[in-house]
Amino acid sequence: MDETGLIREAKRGDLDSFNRLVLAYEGIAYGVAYRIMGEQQSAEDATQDAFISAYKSLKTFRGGSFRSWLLRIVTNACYDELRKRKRRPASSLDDLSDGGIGFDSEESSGLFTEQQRPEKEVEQGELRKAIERCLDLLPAEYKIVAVLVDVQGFDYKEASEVIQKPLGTVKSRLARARGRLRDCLQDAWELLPGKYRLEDETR
Amino acid sequence: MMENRRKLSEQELELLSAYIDGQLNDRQARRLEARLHEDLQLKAELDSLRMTVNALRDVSAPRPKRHFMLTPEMVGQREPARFVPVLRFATALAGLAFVALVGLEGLQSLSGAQLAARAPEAMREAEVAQDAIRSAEEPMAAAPAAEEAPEFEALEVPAEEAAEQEPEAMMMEEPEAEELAPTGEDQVMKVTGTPEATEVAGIAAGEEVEGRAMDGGDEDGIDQELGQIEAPEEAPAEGANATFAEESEPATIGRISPLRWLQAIAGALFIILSVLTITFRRWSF
Repeated sequence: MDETGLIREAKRGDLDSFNRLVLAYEGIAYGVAYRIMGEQQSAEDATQDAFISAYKSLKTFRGGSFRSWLLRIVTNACYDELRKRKRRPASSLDDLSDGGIGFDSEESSGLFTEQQRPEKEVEQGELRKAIERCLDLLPAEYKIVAVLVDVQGFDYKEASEVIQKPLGTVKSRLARARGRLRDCLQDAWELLPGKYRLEDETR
Repeated sequence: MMENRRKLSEQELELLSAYIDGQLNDRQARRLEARLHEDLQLKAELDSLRMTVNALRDVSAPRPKRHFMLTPEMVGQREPARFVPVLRFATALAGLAFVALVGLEGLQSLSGAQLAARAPEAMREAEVAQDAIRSAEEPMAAAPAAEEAPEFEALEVPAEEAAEQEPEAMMMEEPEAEELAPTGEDQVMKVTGTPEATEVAGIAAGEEVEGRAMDGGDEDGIDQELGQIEAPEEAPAEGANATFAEESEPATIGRISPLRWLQAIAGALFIILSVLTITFRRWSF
């Protein structure tokens, strides 16, 4: 059944149809939640709350991009959670060192210690840590745009639907987010893999 | 590369960011590219921004360690869906049964009306039969007693023997006669078919047996008793008329017919099941 059919059945109360939508979007929903919340447990809680809210308010979905509609609920759930905690999102460095994140690489498998890992793996790990630390330092309104467009690959229109702001706002917030990230990552440029440096040199 | 950076204005930063994403129109893009050829610092800013974007896009998204599928409990849904179809089916069955029973009653009413139309004729026939009974002579009036005779005679034997033998046996006669009374009553019921006549005849039969036992088989006593029950013997004729009139109507007077009971049960079931079905359907959402 296609997405429209699943949404229609879910609106009628068919939980199985909605769960098929959950399976299709839980990766991206959790990814966005993780970037906003900064750590695994909070991201999982926010993602679960968001799916529950989405099911209960499914009748308010009037068509368009379901992904944008769903991620709007995810971001709202994250901000609600952050407001409840009244604290900044925790740094993900601790989560990374604890192996608490399900990355694809061998990094989280525990096969290598920091000293034993190949140089490239260390570089990738260091760069990831630096990027996540810098993302966490961004104001929330900049961070969500950077996560949606640069990390999750949304276009400007979808991002504007998620944050419910005009396209111009998305453009300006994205530019500022990128500028701040670039400044934050200044010290980590030497850790960039060769392909980034090569791209830099060719322009 | 980084040493030659200069502070970009907000406008320049937005322009470069949009250029990286291909969000500038052709004219804006050409103008920016012309500037980039001339301004190396601006070109360096563009490159550093592009590196940042590339680095962000290469960050693998974290994968969740679990699924987020919902359960009915999470969304306040209970599990009525499994037995709601059964409830629906039972409701439909009860409704159909109710309709069928109402239809059956309608058919019975129709046939009852046809019987009622023939009732006057039947009443005339009954009157003729009653006249015939009244005009019958005394031996004819004693016919029911004669019909009872075989059984009563068989029962009379121990009574007569007991009367001829010892006084102790007389003490046993009364209970035995009392036991015989219902038997006589059963036979009278077969003859008359009405409760009133049965009662009268039953009493008469009981008295007759008792009388015979006490009299020790006196034939005069029997005749006298038969003469006494002659008058009540008219009751079966009147009772027969009443019974016929009752049987010509389907509804039994004084109690609810089984059909009505079934209708009531089916109707009540239909209502209860309908309410349950609606309730559980709403309960699930």
